[in-house]
Amino acid sequence: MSVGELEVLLLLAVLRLDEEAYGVAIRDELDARTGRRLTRGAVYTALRRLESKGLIEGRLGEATPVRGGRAKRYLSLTPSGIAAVRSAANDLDRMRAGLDLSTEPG
Amino acid sequence: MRPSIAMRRLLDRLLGPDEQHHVGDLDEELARRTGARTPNWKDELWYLREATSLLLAYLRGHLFPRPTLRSAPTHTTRSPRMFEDLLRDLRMALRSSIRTPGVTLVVATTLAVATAATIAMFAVADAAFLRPLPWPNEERLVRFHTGFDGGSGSVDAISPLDARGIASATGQIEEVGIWTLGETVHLTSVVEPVRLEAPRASVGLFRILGAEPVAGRFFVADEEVPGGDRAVVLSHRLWTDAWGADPGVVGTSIELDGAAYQVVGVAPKNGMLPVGADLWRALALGPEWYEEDRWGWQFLAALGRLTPGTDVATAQTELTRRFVEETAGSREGQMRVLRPLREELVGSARAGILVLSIAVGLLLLIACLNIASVLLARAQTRAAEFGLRRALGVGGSRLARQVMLETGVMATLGTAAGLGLAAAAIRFLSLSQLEALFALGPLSIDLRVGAFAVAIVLIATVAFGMAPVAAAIGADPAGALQGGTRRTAGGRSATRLRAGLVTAQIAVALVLLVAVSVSTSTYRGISSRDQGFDPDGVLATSVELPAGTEADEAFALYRATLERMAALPGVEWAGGGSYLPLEGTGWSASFAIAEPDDPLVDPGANMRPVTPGYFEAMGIRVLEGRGLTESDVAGGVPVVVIDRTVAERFWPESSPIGSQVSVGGLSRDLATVVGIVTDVPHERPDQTDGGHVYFSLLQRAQRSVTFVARTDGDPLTLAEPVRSILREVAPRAAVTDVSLMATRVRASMAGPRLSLTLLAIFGGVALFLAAVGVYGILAFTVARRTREIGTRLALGATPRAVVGAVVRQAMGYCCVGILVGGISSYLLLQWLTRLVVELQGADATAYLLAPAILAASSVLAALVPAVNAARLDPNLALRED
Repeated sequence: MSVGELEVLLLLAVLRLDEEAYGVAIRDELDARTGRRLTRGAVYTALRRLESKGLIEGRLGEATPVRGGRAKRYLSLTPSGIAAVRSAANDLDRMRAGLDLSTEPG
Repeated sequence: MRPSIAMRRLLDRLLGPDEQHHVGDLDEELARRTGARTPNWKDELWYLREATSLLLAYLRGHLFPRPTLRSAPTHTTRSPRMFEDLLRDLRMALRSSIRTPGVTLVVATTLAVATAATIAMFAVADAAFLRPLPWPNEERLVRFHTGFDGGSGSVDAISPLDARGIASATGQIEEVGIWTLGETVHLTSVVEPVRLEAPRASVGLFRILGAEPVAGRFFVADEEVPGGDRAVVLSHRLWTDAWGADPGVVGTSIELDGAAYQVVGVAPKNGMLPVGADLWRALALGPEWYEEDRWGWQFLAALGRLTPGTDVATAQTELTRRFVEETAGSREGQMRVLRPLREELVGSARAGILVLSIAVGLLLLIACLNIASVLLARAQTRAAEFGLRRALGVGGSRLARQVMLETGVMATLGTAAGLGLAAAAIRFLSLSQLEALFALGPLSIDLRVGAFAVAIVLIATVAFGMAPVAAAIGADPAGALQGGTRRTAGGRSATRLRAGLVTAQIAVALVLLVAVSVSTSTYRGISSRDQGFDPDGVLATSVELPAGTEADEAFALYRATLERMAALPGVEWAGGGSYLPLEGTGWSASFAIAEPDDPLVDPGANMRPVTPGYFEAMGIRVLEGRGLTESDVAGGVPVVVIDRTVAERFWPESSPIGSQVSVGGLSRDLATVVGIVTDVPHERPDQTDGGHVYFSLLQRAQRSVTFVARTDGDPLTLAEPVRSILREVAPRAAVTDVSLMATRVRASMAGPRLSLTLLAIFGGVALFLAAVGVYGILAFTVARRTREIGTRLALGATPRAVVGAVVRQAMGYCCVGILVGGISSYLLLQWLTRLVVELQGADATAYLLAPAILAASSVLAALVPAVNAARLDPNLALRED
């Protein structure tokens, strides 16, 4: 299954965060590592898509007062999600193999 | 409620249970942002932005679900980008509105004025035609009248006999409520007697109105029996004013004209009839009122409710059938007429409201044309900017959207200001008694009126924005970049479009001006028409004699007052009457020639009790025979004086003088006609309505009399002397009103005058807007042609020629506009005069004056740019680019 760049980044963020992967943390992680501050709508749409593709799954966590009593939803990768990340990473590796990206082309 | 809370609620409702965590995430981040402090407006904005982003993504996901397999990488980010583009465009629109304050101000102000006029007018039309009347089943409510001449004429009042006849048609009429007309009493239990409108009303009236008493109860059947009728229901206003809204007043006794009445209840504040009643007394009619020969005693108003499913025509047919059966032909030509209540209340106002609504529509049209013209001019000057942006790859739709947004910002500003103005306008209209004049409910801006305003904004945004949008889409990247702003700006077609807009404005303004002009001449015609009496130099003092005044006592009082008034310095004539011209229909009764074989009857002649000297004091001319004299006294031969209308109707061929007539309600004796006088209007000066029968107050006394004095000087100087005469002669009588007859005439014209004032304001605004339009296009053209004009000046053209050329251009627009507007207003007036009888056909002045004013103001508007053009320095002009 092919996934887009943003989707790969999100899957990686979920992997990195392991047990702590939920909405706020995922956006923060992506922001901290790539400097990309995604809009909420973009995250919403992408996660929805990943879930409908069966690449991630969620379980409800604790509800806290700062969240207005609403539970967190922790995400984790499904086996096909892990396969998708791996395949995307492999694709990337194969495509950049032998390229020197340290200097500007031309 | 804070917007963020509203947004959160919306999201809570929209998002499913497995998506609620998004809202939780949002809250968590907000909490992280604010920390311990309370959220400020920046947090609020942040929340709104984030929530909107989420909301849009949600809507997009649910409204336009896409098959997952076809997903493209860019796809996921398009929705947010679209929203952010929109935000950026909105920011740009706001900035650009601030950068060009002149344009923004002109557009917003124009729109504000037009919106305010539209909303205010809509509120009026709404109250008159659209909103249901405040009564249950109002569509089934009808008023009854006594008709004559086979229904071509009618009087508002009916007799008890007819009221009973109407109530008997139970198959068609569910319920009938009646009340007495024109009855006043004095509340005598207070120190200074207060005069009150005090109709007597039947139980049925309160049932039909569906009213609930605020305190106590309404009347019961026992109170409709003579002797049991000493019960009153107070109006909400009287209850509040006189008793401070104390519920304890129910059950107490009050004194009206010296007689004790028990207060049984308090009526609700709104929705009571008759309008203006201070209290209602129970109505009890003894059997004597139902005798056959009392059919001419008309003093009741009747309101009825049709049975469900019955229409007015069916009910009318049944009423007529019963009437013929009941009277067996003894009242030939008469009938009992019913009309829908709504028509009664707003029917007379319809024409005025229609004319004003059309005027407002035209005003709105001019405003739209003006705004379109201004925006188009701006788009033309920005052609270079648009061209550049297109060259940089900005799509036409994106540019169009931005222009629409800019227009939208201005439209929103204008409409918001317009709403404020409308609220002020409505307060003004309420203050100016428009509600009372047109018998409307309270005017207000409610949700529907508000929605109407929003609809205007939307339509206006689209309509005004179209031309500039077209200019933006059509912006030519290459052309715009090659040349300077001025030479290529927008091209010929845009300028031609603007010329068309200005011409249209002039045409519409002309239509309005002609309407103003025609209305003015109609109004002047009414005011200056021979009304059959002369109000100038007349002081009118109304007096109410205490209840129980004996007839002889009253006769002596009249005589003494008149004698002393006539002796006042400067007084030429003194007289008195119970119902003055323009005071309403008053008392009506039947009138017939006393010959058994003469079937002609006027069931509703206007009875006018007057004293000798009244005709002279009021300036009513005696045409034939004589007026009333001191020798027409009680015990002598009863005499009447009739007006021209009555004379021509009953005696088309012969002279009525000396004829014997029977007058219902006057006495059972026959009266002799002794004279004919001119017709006077009884409601409004623009209505010719004679039909008056005068009889002597010295033969039959009345409690309420208005003394009139004619002087060659200032009638107001008589006010105090007349008062002091009345204090001495009639210390127990209450002086209820002192006013100039001329003021009374003016007051009776308040409705037409208000309409005229409003129309004149609309016309003035239209003229101004059209002039602004002419100025705008000429200033723009001159600016664009700077180089050309400079060349001409350099080649030897005189400044005079340059001015001439610019003014000629203005006159060109003017001529076409006036031609189109002239034809349009002619057609419009043809249609309107058919609807509005009072509008006289436009005279030549109306058609000449309006174009002259319009042409003059166009020339004035053209002069500024023209002179500017003539003063151009050829050197500078040629170098400019």
